[in-house]
Amino acid sequence: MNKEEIYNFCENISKKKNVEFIYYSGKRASITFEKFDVTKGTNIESTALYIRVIVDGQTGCYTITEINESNILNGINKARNIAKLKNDIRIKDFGDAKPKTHINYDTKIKKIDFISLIPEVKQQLTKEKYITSYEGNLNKMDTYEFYMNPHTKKEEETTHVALGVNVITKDVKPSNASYSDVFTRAEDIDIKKTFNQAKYDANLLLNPKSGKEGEYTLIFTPDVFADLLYGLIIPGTTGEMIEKKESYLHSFVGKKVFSEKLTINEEPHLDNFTNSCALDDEGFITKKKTIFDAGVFETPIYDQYNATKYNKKITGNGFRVGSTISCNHTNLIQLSGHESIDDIITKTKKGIIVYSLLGMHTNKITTGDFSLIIGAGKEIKDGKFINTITNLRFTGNIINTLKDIYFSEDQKFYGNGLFSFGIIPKVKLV
Amino acid sequence: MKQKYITNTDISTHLDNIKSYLDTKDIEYYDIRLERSKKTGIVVDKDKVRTIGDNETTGVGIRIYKNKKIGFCSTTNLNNYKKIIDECIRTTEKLTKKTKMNNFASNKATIKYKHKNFDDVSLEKKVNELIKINKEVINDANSDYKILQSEIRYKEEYTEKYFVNPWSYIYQDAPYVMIYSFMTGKKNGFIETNLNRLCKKEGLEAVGIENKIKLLVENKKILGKLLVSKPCPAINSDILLDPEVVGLLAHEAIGHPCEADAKLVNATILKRKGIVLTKNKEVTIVDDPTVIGFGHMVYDDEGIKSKPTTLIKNGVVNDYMTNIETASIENTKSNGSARAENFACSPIVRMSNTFFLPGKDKHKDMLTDFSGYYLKGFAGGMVDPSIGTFMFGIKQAIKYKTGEIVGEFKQASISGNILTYLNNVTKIGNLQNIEGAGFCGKNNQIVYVGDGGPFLKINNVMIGGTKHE
Repeated sequence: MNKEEIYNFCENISKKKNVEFIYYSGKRASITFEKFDVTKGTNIESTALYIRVIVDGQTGCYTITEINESNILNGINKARNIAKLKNDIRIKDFGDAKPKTHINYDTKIKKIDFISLIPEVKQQLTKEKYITSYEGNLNKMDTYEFYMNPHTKKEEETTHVALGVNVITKDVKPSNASYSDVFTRAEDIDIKKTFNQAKYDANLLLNPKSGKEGEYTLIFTPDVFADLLYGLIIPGTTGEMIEKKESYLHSFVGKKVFSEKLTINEEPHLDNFTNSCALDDEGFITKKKTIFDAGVFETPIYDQYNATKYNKKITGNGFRVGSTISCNHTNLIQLSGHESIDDIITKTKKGIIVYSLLGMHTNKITTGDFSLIIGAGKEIKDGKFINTITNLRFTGNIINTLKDIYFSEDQKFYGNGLFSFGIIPKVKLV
Repeated sequence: MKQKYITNTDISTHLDNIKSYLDTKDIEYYDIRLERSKKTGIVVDKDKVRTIGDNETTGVGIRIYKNKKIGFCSTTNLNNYKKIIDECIRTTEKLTKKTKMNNFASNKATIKYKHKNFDDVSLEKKVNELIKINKEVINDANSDYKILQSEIRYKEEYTEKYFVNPWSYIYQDAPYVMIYSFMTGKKNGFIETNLNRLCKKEGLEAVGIENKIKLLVENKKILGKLLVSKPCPAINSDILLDPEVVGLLAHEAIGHPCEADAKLVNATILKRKGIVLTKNKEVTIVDDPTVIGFGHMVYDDEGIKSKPTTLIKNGVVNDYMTNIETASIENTKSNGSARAENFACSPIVRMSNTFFLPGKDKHKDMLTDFSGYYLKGFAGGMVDPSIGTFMFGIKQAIKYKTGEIVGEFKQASISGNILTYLNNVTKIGNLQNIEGAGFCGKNNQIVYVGDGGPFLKINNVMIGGTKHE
């Protein structure tokens, strides 16, 4: 069955049999570069149909990749049998919101012939002083998705190009630096710029040595701040974590928890953002929300299950991840500061600009405690870069740590987010 | 009894069709990996069934070698093979590098993994058993703290893999089972959580009711300890590592830097054989896919028979894990370390079961007069092989003074540099536990791995806690 046949078949039986469908079809073309050459090519396509039913208020789901009429009907029966085994809270019905927002995506990027980008990548793999090797990938991802239930439906089609570059260097000691970019508009694709940033960082981070214990101003690159955000803050903002008291944020709803400089909004309707959507994967309207407003934790998010269980409003954040629905944000936009990163570095007396943190997945969301290692950083003394450092411990509790954080005006685009450099004064490192 | 699928797939016809089409193309080599898997996940939250997720996946991954250039394609639509093969050839022709590849697999085998089939017990029975166990553990009157949440996440997975190249036909199946107990407890106003897990390459025989109860009871015990433990200080000390943590050290600090693909792009600090990591001759670390651990495999994803590799021998870098590509470049033969997460991924060099071999010291003797921190239970790890910095999290740190426990702490970490860290290993236990199981991520692919080792004593290293002392 092609996608039109699948769509028509699902539309026909969705109402008749009271079934929800999420169809996903993705195509990824990619190249790998190693050392100074483009060495491997990959073309991948995948499709999946997620089938969900409600029987006596209980949901049951089944996912198939071999999509034909018989397998869809068998999947519906299987999902019904699964629903009958459940004894959880009762869901009334699928969402019935009608999408009102139209999200625009660049149409030119879809038309780019991926292999035409290969010579440009090869051109950037230059043999320069200290560079011993490159490794990385360039990907073009085309996705098509439809959601439908008996009351509503949506279709989405997006394309993005992603480039990740790791530059491996050696002067006296070996070192490396990585940089990546996501492009959602054809006119923004700038392979040279991404490579140049990776090469610049690699040159800056030559000859790492163990850092010295002391008190520093820490400057996190947007990549590292995004790691901290998704590792230690965002997972604790879901309604389920709050209600179960499994997040250190559970007692801070509506209260100030971080610096007043920290404001993060969820914006699901932005043009050319990869996670934009008018409806979530449960048929509910997505809305702009302030997650943190000047350090105050404003909005936990709830999918249909958790909203029903804890008697809260559905926030339109139920999204399919693999073969289940879970509660997730769409695009996250962090409000930038007013000072450029260059000015901030110039004013720094004793600091470290942190390019990588190791151990992010060892964090504990229940308490907010963390114990991380600076994998690569550049020491700053009186506004000037001095040593490259590694293996310096950054430990503590995220609430105390982010009480004075502020941000640069410079921001980086991640496809589904915008983040700044984050600056924390007076951090004790060991 | 075979696994039941709702989808009917004529595997041999698909393989024949793809092979015939590839034979018409002007390519030097190809391999086809057709896979079919069925996964079931159950989440029980207190006495409620939160989620039951079931899915079936079928797909094929095809690697081609044309004009000495390497291409890979995959699809879940088995009828669409011509289109993706043609696209793949077009991409591959544009690559800028010719890569040496030789000594391809020439094996024929059918490997059926002996296990108790997941379909032998109904989904209903599995669900009811999980609810019953969870209720019993929550309602246990002997608990000295309040359990706020207890969630059991149960996963079973059965995969059938077909590997075909011009000279090989290999069938392998593999059952995996994973149970996670996630608990939240409260005592004296403090809230803590802990995750305990059981992961096996086995069927239903691994998850009898007694094993499930043991997992939950153990988790409850650990959570009870964490609730009364203080956050660990950041301090220099002697440490004693339990086999679970030793396994993580073997995997992160040694395994990743000994992957031959990292060596070829200068991305490992262990760039040549003969580098001395420690003068302690008892330090020997192996990667062994033949051991029945979570990373066990008979043939790798390039059809090569797997075998053990001694990475560190008597304290010295001895060998690297290889696949066909890296071995060919180094003018040797692959040691069968090529793995792919699934059919949609190209096989790359990966670990299987990585562990320290045992030494001579008795565990009891290692604790006698021990002063320092005994580190138990891992909480994830990470390494930058190119500069040698590694770090990983530890759940419990028990402080000893001359053989006596004087304090219990939580959430510690250890870190250091690969080139110097093992130099301080002073004692290696004579008993080995290689039942560690984990999920290793590399190049956006996750594979199941095993690890472990004996108890290890390391002198004068930094423990990174969450409190400054």
